[in-house]
Amino acid sequence: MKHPIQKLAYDSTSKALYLAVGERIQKFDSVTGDLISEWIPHTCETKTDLEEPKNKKAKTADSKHNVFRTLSCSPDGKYVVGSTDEQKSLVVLNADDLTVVNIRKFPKRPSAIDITSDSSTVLLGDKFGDVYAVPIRDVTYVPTAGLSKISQVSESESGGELDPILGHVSMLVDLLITEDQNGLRHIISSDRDEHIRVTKYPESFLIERFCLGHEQYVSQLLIPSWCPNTLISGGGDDFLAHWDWTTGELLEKVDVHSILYPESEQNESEAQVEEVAMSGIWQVPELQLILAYDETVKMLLVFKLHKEPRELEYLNKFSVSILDVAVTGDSGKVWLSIDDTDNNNQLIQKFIISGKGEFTATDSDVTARILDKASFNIASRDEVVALHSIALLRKHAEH
Amino acid sequence: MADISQSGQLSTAAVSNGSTPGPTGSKRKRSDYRQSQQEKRQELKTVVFEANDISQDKIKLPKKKYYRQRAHSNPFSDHLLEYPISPSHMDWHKLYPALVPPKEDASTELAKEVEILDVGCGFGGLLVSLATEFPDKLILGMEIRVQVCHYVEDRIIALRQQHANEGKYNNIAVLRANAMKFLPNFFGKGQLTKMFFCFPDPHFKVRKHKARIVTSTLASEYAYLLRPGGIIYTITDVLDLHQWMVRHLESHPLFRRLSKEWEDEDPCVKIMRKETEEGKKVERNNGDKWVACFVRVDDPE
Repeated sequence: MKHPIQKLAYDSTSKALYLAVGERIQKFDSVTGDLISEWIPHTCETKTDLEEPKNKKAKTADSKHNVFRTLSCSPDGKYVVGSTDEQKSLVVLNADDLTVVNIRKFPKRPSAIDITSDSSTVLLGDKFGDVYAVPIRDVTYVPTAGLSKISQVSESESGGELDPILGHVSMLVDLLITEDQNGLRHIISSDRDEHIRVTKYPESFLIERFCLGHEQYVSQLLIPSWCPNTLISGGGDDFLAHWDWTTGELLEKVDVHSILYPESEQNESEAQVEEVAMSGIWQVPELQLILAYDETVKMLLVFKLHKEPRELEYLNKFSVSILDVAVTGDSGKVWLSIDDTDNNNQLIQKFIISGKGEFTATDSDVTARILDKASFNIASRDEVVALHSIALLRKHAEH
Repeated sequence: MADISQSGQLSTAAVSNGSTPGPTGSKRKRSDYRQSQQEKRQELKTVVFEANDISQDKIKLPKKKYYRQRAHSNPFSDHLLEYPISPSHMDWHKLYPALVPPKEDASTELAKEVEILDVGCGFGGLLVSLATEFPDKLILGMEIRVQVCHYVEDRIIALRQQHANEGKYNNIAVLRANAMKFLPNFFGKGQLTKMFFCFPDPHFKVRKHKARIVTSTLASEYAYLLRPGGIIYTITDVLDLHQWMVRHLESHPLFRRLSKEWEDEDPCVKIMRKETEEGKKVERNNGDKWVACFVRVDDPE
């Protein structure tokens, strides 16, 4: 079988499709389906920036665990940026040929990244709740915790410690940076403690407000491009929250529990836990659609976000086991990374979504060409780390 | 840890061990005491004591020895804490029954709001002194340790009843809360005028420094809660922690350290030095006390 594709990224200018497969990154031409280039860390890693094995314990980081957990393209299309698990590193590659720009290690495991609109800075949030801002290109700057042991190891070679620009006292689960027409920028960050926080950027010492209303972890944040004051958030709650993030007002709570667990099925499996775990929210601007994925039920929900009045209208659901969605921005076409354990030649699929939220498979010839080269063979699923882990964020307090 | 602190109690327990099953000696005594206090607390927590109320026996001030608890708590663990979804969900009437009308009442818009916060209030020494220093302000203590929080609750109930004639101590209350995580759930932007951090857990190990209550990232949150002109008060007997707090707050663009002269003039600094339980302990041991106060400056243009 083949290793599943855990993350996707799409650059609409070059029409390039990037795949994060385990610890590798692949670049495809999404029009022809050709594999353009591939980055495999142990063969490509000729850089010596990563002089870390001085660490006594030298956990010969099992590459299996050093998978990419995030993947993004810079807005200018020049870089591909991803963060990995075990080595806690931020990897910046040249988009053209997937050569390394830099690889930087962080004190804690990165959990979310976003890139400023000028493609100059990467914002990285970690499992400890801190957010760092690092220049996308600078190689000399090796961020470390400063206070942790790691810093003592690499202090001599790094440019000193890097301080977080903001911090939550809880695992940071998602973050995004937004810019209004006047160039005013804000970071919106969410954590496992139900909080959504709006902070000025770069004056990140100024917290503007909190968007409070969630009662469970908040794993997904999205600002739709056609409604820039709107924030859609979801996570462990039975609803998606629809906010005006510029005022903090909760406009509506859109029930997703009743869609995911319709009553008819409820009676059969009464004992089962009916928990919601939103692992992805995406936008399809050309159709003004919002997609939201629940990893427990494995259901992709489609909503229409109306501007006047501001309302999130449920359209349709699509039962599919996916890991990520890459939106092309072209007439409702999206790439889905399928977590298909049985029929493993379907790792990636292209669909066209209608204005009513219906999915139709499309471009099967291109998909077939991509499937031919995508991913790599593995002996069994045991070689793959847990990829559906959002639901684990739910709290089970003892005292 | 705290359970074995009194060797006298231990030996009594050992002697009576054979006769009765279950909790014995001082342990039983403590659990009985806690039980009866619990019942009283449930009943009287939200009672407004009438002046000259002699229908009930005077409630005794609680005994600290029955409320001992380990001095440290992990601020990152998922405690079963109760906190409101947002400040508007909070019913302050339950904490200040005499001064804040019930939430159901429509007129709550003009209700008093908490302005002074004692973070990690411990056994409540500072709270009790502040109550009379600022009789027209609502003052809240937050404490993460359950038993210590119960002690302060019982102390406030007793004080309210004992001073029912003068209507004192209606303006202080305590909450079990994790102040590092959930302050924005309780208070809105710019709601507070004073925040106290008295003898916080020093978390000596480097690995634990993020658990310290004053860090540059948390300072941003305190700046959000404090209105411009509001004050952060810190005091500790650990020089290293003092220097840490000064460094993190001084380097924060929204705080400016206040002078030694200011400290000498300010009544709260005096109270903080003398009236906190830890302050008294350090005093007895002739230890050093390090004070630093910071004013929340205006947002830059």
